This record gives sequence, structure tokens and C-alpha cells, in this order.
Amino acid sequence: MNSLASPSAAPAPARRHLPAFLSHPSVLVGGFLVLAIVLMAMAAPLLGTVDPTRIDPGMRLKPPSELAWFGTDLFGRDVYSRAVYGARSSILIGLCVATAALLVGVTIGLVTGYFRWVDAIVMRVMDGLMAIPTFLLAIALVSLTRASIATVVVALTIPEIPRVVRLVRSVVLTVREEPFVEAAISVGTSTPKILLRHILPTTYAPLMVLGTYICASAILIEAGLSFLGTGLPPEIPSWGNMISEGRTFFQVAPRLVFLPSLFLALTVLGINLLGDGLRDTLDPRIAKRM
Amino acid sequence: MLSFVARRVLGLVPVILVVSIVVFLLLRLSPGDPAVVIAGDNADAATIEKIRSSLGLDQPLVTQFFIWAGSLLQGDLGISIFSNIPVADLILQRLEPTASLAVTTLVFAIVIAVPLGTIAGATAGSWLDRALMLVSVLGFSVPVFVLGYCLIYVFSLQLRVLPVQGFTSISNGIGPFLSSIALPTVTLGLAYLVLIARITRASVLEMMGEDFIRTARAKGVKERLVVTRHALRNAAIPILTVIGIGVALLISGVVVIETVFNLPGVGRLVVDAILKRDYPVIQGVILMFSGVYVLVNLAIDIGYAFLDPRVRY
Repeated sequence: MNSLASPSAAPAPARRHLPAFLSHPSVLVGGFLVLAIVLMAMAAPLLGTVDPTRIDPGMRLKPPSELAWFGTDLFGRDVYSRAVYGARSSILIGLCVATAALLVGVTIGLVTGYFRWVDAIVMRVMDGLMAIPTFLLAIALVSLTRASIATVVVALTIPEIPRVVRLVRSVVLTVREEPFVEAAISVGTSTPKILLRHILPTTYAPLMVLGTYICASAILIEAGLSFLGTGLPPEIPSWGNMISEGRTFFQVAPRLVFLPSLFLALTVLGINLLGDGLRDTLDPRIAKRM
Repeated sequence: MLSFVARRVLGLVPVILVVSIVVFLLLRLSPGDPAVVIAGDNADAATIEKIRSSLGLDQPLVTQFFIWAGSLLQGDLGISIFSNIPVADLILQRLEPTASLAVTTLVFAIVIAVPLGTIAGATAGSWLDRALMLVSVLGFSVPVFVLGYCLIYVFSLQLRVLPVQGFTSISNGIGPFLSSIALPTVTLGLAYLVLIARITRASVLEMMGEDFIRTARAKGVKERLVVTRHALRNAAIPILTVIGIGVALLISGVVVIETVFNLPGVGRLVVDAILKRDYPVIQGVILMFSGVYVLVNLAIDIGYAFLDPRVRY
């Protein structure tokens, strides 16, 4: 009986629009940029780099040469190698934050959207969290503990959760009244099964888009935190840390700031383009919800 | 109308309550005992105990919250651990650069974004429209501090037309004030500008397809007036909404920008407080910024009702 009740007309936008989505220029350009940065992060040791954390007092603030393509920083570390390895921290943080925020947000969103009595309380808490500017909340959370990749991920995830909850809840509220959900209820499908099998799949397309935006935002905020000296510990090569250390010597050696900035901007640009393209092709209704 | 305003104001009570609980817990969750930090390294156990009871730290958590919230309602944000100056005074001392920057940025972004977005929306598909969409993706992707350094490099180091860093108060003359605030304003305003321009474009474009636009054209209204009086006016609500939501973007930007341009404002205050773990100051600044954000959005909510009677259900 259950298989009969399963909605054959349930939307599967991702599959239906696959061709349109692959030929969208934003998806192509953004996807190419993201792929290039990810490959660079994975193949960092093969790209003519040296140990990004090796300190060489004899090589401090050297201009670009054959030994160091973009010169060296205050501690004689190779700027090019640090920038290439920096992609690892940014991508790791972007992916972890997006995954964590989506997992927690989807769980809360499904429950609050479906059970009315939880809704009032949880949404007030989400409204309150959203009233605190993201960056300030993240910076305050980081200041509570010693900086490490894990604490930065947690601090960046918490402010993003309300956005996911709101999106999932708005989808659930509309889907809950659909005939296929009523049908599932009427044949006695258990509530967890309705949530996971019938309602959850309708949120995939908008969540994919929101996930890319959260990823981009997390990378930007991590760079901002590190820039202010409150993000990742200074020994980890990250673009924010490089810009932060380089700004003191900006007038003498602007390359210390510009190279990591270029990588950072290209990465975020790529992810944003990918998100915009997915939003436009997966489902036109998504744009209204974002 | 009055009941609409009252409902909106009442709706803020739970938001403010949640914000204050989060900010309160932030201090309570901080590592270490605040009494030990305040007492300093050489304090004996009795002094620490005295400070603890004077701060109410020996009370249950819920009682502590109500004591804290009560003094908050009287405008008492606590005292900085490091300078022993009341947090409210510290914020007031630093308010001028931040408030100046906020005003110039709002004016800069809105004055450019709304006309730009309107023209782009009315001429969708034109080169101007395409250029705007391209710049807007760039505007979202370049971090404010990166943009700040690029502008400093071009205008201060290469062309030498603007000062590199620092803030000149408006009381020292409008010229020096504007040249000190010009680069921070453009840097901070760009992302906000493209955000507003994009929404303006989208909502004007949506209105251009409506029946009342065709009617206005049919009765011979000039195209310029069709766009401004009919399309833009009806598109105002999403534009106002994004101006309000974007304030969060500005607040996050201010914190970073004041470090880039060495402006002695509230953003710089909170960054220094975080580096020193001066929790009362962090709490105070977060409360202030969240309060500003909530109030701006309340004002915008009420503004809707004036602009569009349909909202006053």
C-alpha cells in the first residue's frame, strides 16, 4: 500500500533540469573556478611549492625571484606556497560549515515546520539569533575559546543555522498541505517516514543553492576573522592570516596582501556564480525564497 | 495604524529577549572566572570573593540574568575589565567615526543603487543591465578588506589624492572630513550598493510587466514617469526590505573596515576588546549593534504601512 501512496508526481527538479543546468554560463564559469581551486588545494605539494610553514630568517621580505615566485613574508616563508596551501583551510572550512549548518538546520526546520507547537518557540529563537549580525556573533563565539579549525567551524555554523531553518520551514509549510502528504497520512504512514521520505526530498533543490551561499559566506567570514587576528591560529596557512600579516608591510610589499586576496576573491566568486546558476536553473521558485 | 505600530513593537519583545539571553550567556560561558580576571594577578581569595558577590556572581544563573537585564534597562552596560570605564561611555567616545561612516555609506549606496537598479530593470537586457549584474557578482565576492587595500593602493599610494588612513572629525571642516571618509565609504558601500541595485532591478522588472503599466502607457504617460511614478513606487517594498536587511551587512563590514582604515570607532573598540577578551565591552557592542539593526527594521516595517496601505491589514 505504501508504495502506491508514494507520490509519483513528487517534484524531482534536479534530474529534470539537468541539461539546462549544465549549459548555464554561470554554472560553467563558477564550476570551473571551484574545480580549479579544489584541484589546486588537493595537488598543493605537486605545484612547485615548498613547506608553507618553513621559517627562514635569512630570506625575510625578499622580492619575487626564481626561488620564491611571489617573494617571501616577514618570517621568510614562501608567499606562493602559503597561498596555494591556504586554499585547503578555506575549502575545508567552507564545506564543513555548509554541511553542519544544513544538517542542523534541516533537522530543526523539518520538526518546526511540521509540528505547530514547536514552531512558535523555535522561530522566536531563530529571529533573535538573526537579529545579531552574523559577523559579530561569529567573532564573539570565537573569542570564547582558543582558536582552532573546529572552533571556527562551530562559530561560523551557529549564525548560519537560522537561514536554513527558515528556508526548510517555509518549504515544509507549503508541502504539508499537498495531496501526496495527505495521502501518506491517510494510509497510516508514520510521521518520521512522512518527514524523511515525502517532505525532505522537496527541500533538496533550494538547500543546494543555500548551501553554496553558506559556503561562500563562511569562507569570507573566516578570512575576515583571521584578518582581525581572531580566526585560525597564525601558523596555519590561510588567506585571511596572510592578508592580516601582510597589511603591516602593505606600502612596501603590496604583493603580500594581493596574492592571497586574489585567490580568496576568485574562490568566493566561483562559488557565488555556481549558486546563482543553480538557483536560476533548478527551480525558478527558489529565487523568491532566498 | 496605531494598532499596527503597537503590534510590531510588541513583536520585538521576544526578539530582544532572545538577543539578551544569548549575549548574557556569552559572558557566562566565557572561560575563566570574571571575578579572578577583574581582581588581577595579585589578588587574594578574600578580594576575589568580595568582587564575586559585588558582581552577583554567587547568585543562581536566572537571578543573575534578571539583575543584569534590570541594569541594562537603566542603560548600564557594565564596566570594562581593562580600563574600568563604563562600557556605555566607551561606546559613546567611539561613536562619531562609526556613525559618520554609517550615514555616508547609506547615502552613497542608496543614492546610486536605486536609480541604477531602476534603469537596469526598465531596460532589462541592455548593456547597462548586463554590466550591473556582472559588477554585482564581483561586489558580493570581493571581501571588504581586499577592496579596501585595492582602493588604498590606487588612490592613496599611486595617485596620492586621498589620505591612507585615519579619521578627521567633521568639526575640523567638511573637506578634510570627506577626504578621510571617502575610501571607507566606497569600500563599505559597494556590497550594499550592489545588493540594493539587484533587488531594485528585479522588483522594477517585475512591475514593468503589470497591467497598470500598460494602462499608464496607453493613456500616454511619458515613459520616464511610467518607470518612476508607477513601476518604482510599486516596487518600493522589496527595496526598503533589502535596505533594512543590508544593515547587518554594513555592521559586519564596519568592524573590518575600521581596522583597514584605522578609524577609531565602535568596530575597532570591539575588535580590541575581543583580542583582550574584555567581555563586558563585547557584550555592550553586540547589544548596541543588534539594537540598531532591530530598530532600523522596525522603522522600515512601519514605513511600509505609510507607503502601501495594503500592508495595514
